[in-house]
Amino acid sequence: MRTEIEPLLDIKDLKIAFDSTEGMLYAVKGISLEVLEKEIIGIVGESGCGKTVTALSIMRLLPGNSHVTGSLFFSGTDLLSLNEEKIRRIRGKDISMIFQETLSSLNPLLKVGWQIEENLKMHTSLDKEERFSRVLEIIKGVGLPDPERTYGKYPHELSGGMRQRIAIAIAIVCNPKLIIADEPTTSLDVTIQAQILELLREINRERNSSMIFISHNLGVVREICSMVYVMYAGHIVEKAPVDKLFTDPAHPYTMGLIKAMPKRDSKGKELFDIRGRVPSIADMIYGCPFEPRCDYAVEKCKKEFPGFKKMDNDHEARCFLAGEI
Amino acid sequence: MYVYLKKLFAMILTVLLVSLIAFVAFEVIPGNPALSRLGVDAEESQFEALSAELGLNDPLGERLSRWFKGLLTGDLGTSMRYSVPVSDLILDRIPVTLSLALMAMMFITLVGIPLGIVSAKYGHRLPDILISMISQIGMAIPSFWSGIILMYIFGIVLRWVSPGGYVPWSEDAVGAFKSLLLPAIAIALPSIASIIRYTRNSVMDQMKSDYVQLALSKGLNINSVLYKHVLKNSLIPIVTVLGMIAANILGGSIVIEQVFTLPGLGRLLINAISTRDLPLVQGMVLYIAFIIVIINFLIDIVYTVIDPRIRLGA
Amino acid sequence: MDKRSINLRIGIVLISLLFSMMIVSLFYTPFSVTEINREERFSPPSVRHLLGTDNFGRDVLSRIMKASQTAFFVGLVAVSIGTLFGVTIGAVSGYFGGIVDEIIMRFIDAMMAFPSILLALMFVSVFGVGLRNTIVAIGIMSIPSFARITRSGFVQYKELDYVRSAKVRGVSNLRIMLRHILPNVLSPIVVAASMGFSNAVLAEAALSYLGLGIQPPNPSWGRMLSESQVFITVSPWYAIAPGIFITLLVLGFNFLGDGIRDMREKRK
Repeated sequence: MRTEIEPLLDIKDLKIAFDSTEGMLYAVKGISLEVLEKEIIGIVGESGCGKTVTALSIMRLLPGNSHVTGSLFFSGTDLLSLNEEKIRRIRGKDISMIFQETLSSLNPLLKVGWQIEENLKMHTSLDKEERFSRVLEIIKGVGLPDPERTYGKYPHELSGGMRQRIAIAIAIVCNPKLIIADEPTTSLDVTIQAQILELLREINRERNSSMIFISHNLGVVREICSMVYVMYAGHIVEKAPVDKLFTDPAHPYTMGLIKAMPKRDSKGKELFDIRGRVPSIADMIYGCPFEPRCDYAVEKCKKEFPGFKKMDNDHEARCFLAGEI
Repeated sequence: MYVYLKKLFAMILTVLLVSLIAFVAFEVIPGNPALSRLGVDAEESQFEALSAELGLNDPLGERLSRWFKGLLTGDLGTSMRYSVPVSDLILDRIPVTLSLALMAMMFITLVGIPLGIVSAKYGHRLPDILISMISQIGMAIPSFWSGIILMYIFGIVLRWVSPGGYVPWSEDAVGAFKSLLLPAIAIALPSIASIIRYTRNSVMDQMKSDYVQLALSKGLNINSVLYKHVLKNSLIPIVTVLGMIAANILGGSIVIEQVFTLPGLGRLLINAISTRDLPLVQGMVLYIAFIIVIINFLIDIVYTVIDPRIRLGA
Repeated sequence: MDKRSINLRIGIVLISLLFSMMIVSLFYTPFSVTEINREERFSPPSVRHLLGTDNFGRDVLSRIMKASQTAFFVGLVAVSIGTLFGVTIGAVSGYFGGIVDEIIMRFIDAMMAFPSILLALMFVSVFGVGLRNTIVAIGIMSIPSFARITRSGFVQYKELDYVRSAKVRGVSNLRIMLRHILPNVLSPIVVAASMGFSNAVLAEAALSYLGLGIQPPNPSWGRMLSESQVFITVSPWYAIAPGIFITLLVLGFNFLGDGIRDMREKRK
C-alpha cells in the first residue's frame, strides 16, 4: 500500500484561491495527493478543473493575487513555508517543469542550447567548458541528433517534437527528483507523442525522477502513469492505480471520460461527450459539483458533497454511488 | 541578402518619390519664385532676366530632369537669400543638429527605457503610478517651453551653462557639450515620456508570456528574467517606436534650435521659410526626407539583428 | 470612484475648466487685451493682475484667456479636418483594399515617417502663414493617424459575417460602410480625435512660437511665449504662464483620450 511508504511529494488539503473583483475565487478546493519516488502519477481532468494551477502552486509560480493554503511537503520540507530565495534554489534543480506550448515557452530569441545551459549556470558551479559538454550530453540524451549544431539553433528552427525534447532537456539537466509535465504531448502529433512518452518513461527509469503527468487525454495517461488522480472543479474525485481506473472506474465522471476516449474502432462513429459543461471558478456549487452532468445522480447529490469512499487499496472515489454503478 | 537589396531599392524609390513631391511643391505650386524675390514692384525687364537666369521659363520636363540630375550630383540648387549652394549651407549646419540629435537620443534611451522597465516591474504599484504620472505630464509640456524654462533656471538663475549660443566642438569640447545639454534635454523630454510608455507596455506584455514562466521555473529571480529574457523580446516593439522618436527629435530640433539660437538645420529651415527662400526650403526638405528614409532603413536592419526569426526566416 | 475611470474624470475636469475660461473670455476679460499701459509694464502677479503684465503693460491673464479661444478653435477645426479626411481615406482604403489600399497606405506611411511639424511647415512655406493656413496645415498633419486607425478598423470588420450578409443582400457599399462598420470603429476614432486635439494645440503653439503660425493681432499662447522669451529675466511669469496653460489643455485631452480608451478596455 502506498501510504506505507514515505512520499517524495505529499500534498494535503491544498486550497488555491484568487483575488478578484467578486471576492476570493477558489480554483482548487482542498486536494490531497502523494507522489512516491520513481513514480509517475497522472492528474486528469477537462480544462478548468484546476490541474495546471495545482502544478504551478507546487513550484510557487502563481501570481501575486493567489492564496495557497494547506501543506506541500517535498522531501520533508513544506514548500509553502519557504521564502523566495529558497524556493528558487529548488526550482529547476529539485523540481522542474515542462510546459505545453513549446513555441511560446522557449524564448524565441535565445539559442536552445543556451536555454539549457542557463539551468546549469544557476544551480551548479561548473565552468563554461564543463557546462557546454553537459549540455551536449543532455541534448544527445533526449534523442536529438548532432548536439553541437542543435545547441546553436533557435526554437523556431526546430520541429514541435524537437522543441519538446529541448524543453525536457531543460527540465532534466540538473537531475531533479520531481518533474511536473503539464500537457507535454497535447500539441504534438500522434507519432511524435509516442516518442516523447517513451523518452519520459526512459527518464523516469534511468534517472529516478518522479513525474506528475497532467493531461486531459486519458489515453496518454494510461500509457505512462502508474497512479491516476481525477480532478473535477477543483476537487479530486477519484484516485486509483492506472489499471484499476480503467477496469473498474468508480466515479461517474471518470466513467464519462473513459467513454469519451477515442478508441481504435471508433473511427467514423460519433465521439461521446459528457453533457453539460465544466463549472467556472466563479460558480457557486452546492453538493456534488458533478451532479448537473451526472447520469446517476440522486437527490442526495444535490445537497451533500460526498467524502472519499474506499473501493480498494489505493482506490478511492468521492461518490455516494461509487462501486454500485 | 536578397531582403536587404529589396529594402535598399525601396529606399531609393522613396527618396525619388519624395524629391518629386518636393519639386512639385516648391517649384510648381508657389508660382514664380522670381516674383517673390524681386517683389511686386519689380520692373518687367528685371523679372524677365531673373526668370531666365533661374531657368523658370523652361518647360516643366526640363526643369524636372535638371532637378533630378542635380540630386545625383548633390546639387540642391542655390539659396536665393545667401546666394550660396544649398548643399553648402546644409553641410555647415549638420554638426550642430547631429550632435543635438545624438545627445537627445542618448538621453531618451538611457533614461526612458530603464524607467519603462522599472515601471513594468512594479506594474500598477506606486513606482509605476508615479512614473506614469510624470511621463503623462512630460508628454504634455511643449518642448520649446521646457527649453525656455530650462534655459532660465540653469542658464540665467543658476548660471551653470550659458543661456543659448553654440560653441563648436572643434573649439572647446566641454563648452560644446554644455551648450547642447539643455537643448538636448528639452528635445528629449516628450520622447522620454512616450518611450517609457511603450517600454512599459511592451515589457508588461512580454511578462505574460510562457517563456517567462519557464524561466521562473528554472529558479531565476525576477531581475534576471527581466534583463536576460524579457528585455530582448521587448526591444522589438521599442525599436519600432524609435523610428517615430527619431522623427520627433528632428521635429523637436527645428523648434529648439530657435529657442537656444543654435546654428543648426532647424534654424536654417525656419529662416528659409520666413524669407520665402524656396530653393533652400526645398533642398532642406529633401535632405530631411533622405535622413528619415535612412533611419527607417537602419531600423529595419536592427530588426533583423535582434530577431533571429526575421533573420533566418521563420 | 474606481481606478479605471480616473483618467476620464481628470480629463473632463481639466477641459471643462479651460473651456469655461474660454467661454468667459468671449464676453469678459479682467482687462483689455490690447490696451497699452506703460506704467504697469512688467509688474509681477498681484491681486490686480493675477498673472502680472507684459512688456506693454497688458494684463497677462486677459491675454491668456483670449488666446485660449485660438487654441480651442484651431484644435477643433484642425481635428475636424483631420477626422473628416482621415476617416474617409482610411475607410475607402480599408474597405476596398487592393492596389488602391496599397498606394494610399504607402503615402500615409511616408507622411507618418516625417516629423509632423515639418509637414505643417512645408504647407506654410508654400501657402503662407496666418490663421486659416495654420488650421489647414495642422489638419493635414492629423490626417495620417486617423486614416491608419480607420483603415485597420475597416479591414477588421469587413470580414465579419453580418457585413458579408449585408453585401449579399445587395446593400450598397456606402451604406455598409456608414451603417454597419463605422459605428464599431468610432471608439478608437474618438480616442484619436482627443489625442489629435492635444497634438493640434502643441503644433499651433510651436508654429506660432516660430512666427509661422497665428499672426498678430490674433492671440496665441505660442506666440506669447516667443514674445516673452526676450524678457524672461525681467518677467519670468510672462514666460511661464502660457506654457502652463498649454500643458493643462494638452493634459486634459490626453487624459480624456486615455480615459475613453480605458472605458473601452473595461467593457471588453
